[in-house]
Amino acid sequence: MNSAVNAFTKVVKSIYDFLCGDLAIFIATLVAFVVSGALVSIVQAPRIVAVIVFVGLTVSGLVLSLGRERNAGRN
Amino acid sequence: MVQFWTMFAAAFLASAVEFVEAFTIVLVIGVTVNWRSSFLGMGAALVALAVIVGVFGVGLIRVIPIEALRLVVGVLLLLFGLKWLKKALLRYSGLKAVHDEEAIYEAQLEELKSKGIVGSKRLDPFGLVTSFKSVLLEGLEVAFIVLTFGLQVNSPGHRNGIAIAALGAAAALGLVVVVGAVVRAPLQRVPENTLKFVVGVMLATFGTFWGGEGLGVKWWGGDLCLFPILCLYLALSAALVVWLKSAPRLRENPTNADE
Repeated sequence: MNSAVNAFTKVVKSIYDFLCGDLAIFIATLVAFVVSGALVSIVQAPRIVAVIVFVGLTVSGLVLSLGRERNAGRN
Repeated sequence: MVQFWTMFAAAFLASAVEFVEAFTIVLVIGVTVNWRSSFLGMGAALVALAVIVGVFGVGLIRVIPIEALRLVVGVLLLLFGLKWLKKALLRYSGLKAVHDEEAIYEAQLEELKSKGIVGSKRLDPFGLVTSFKSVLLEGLEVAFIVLTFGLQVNSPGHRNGIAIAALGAAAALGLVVVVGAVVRAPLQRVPENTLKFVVGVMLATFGTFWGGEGLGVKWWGGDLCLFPILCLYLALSAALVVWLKSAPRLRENPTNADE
């Protein structure tokens, strides 16, 4: 049972590493798509609002991730 | 026409990075073990790739609706692009060591020598498998790039997107092989970080554009909106490098970005 769980975890980890391997970027990108999708489909927000939220959230993941590296380099 | 060249260039650059990595391994195996094992591994990987792309690639085009595909591809390209962009920016800022193909080549050469592997003409399982898995992995990434890029151009009146992307990938393969054959070294002269930076920016740009379309966003000016998005990522990258460089350093030895 344990080996099956370990194998499953390894597979999930490999897929995650292949796709991105960075939690900040991964979560920010997914949140960007979910929130912007809701803005477009459910709230029917103006296009400019959806685009700003989408790009802003996407970029925030990159900035957050780089900020972490910047601090690691400083400490 | 604009979309043809942007698609061609994006597929060319993205594929070139993967081909450089695969070619480095094939070269190391060819030089240290033997060319027979190296080329056989590479050939087997190419056959496997052709089967995989032939089965899943065509199925992917016929089965999945384009809007849903744009959404999925947008997410994937953004993730890939931001990952590559992050590494390139860290290298530009000096927080990570610049990826050194020559150092990798030397390290792999030493590793093979330490295992007592000498150049013989006999088929070598280690050499064959190493070459196979490297080419298969990088080749799958190229196939992914070609299919995802190509599918985005496909529309009812314009269905040759995959051909354009494949053309870009083929041109990259040709260039890498020719350059490799001429210099007979692990392509250390290719400015890899610059290549990865450009690819990162392009993947992020296309990911943002297609992801937005998949969400239902109608971009201003259609495909022309790719350029403002591209400029946004370039400006952001420049600002981020300045910001990263401004950090006071206590780290003596920058880590390798692939770690």
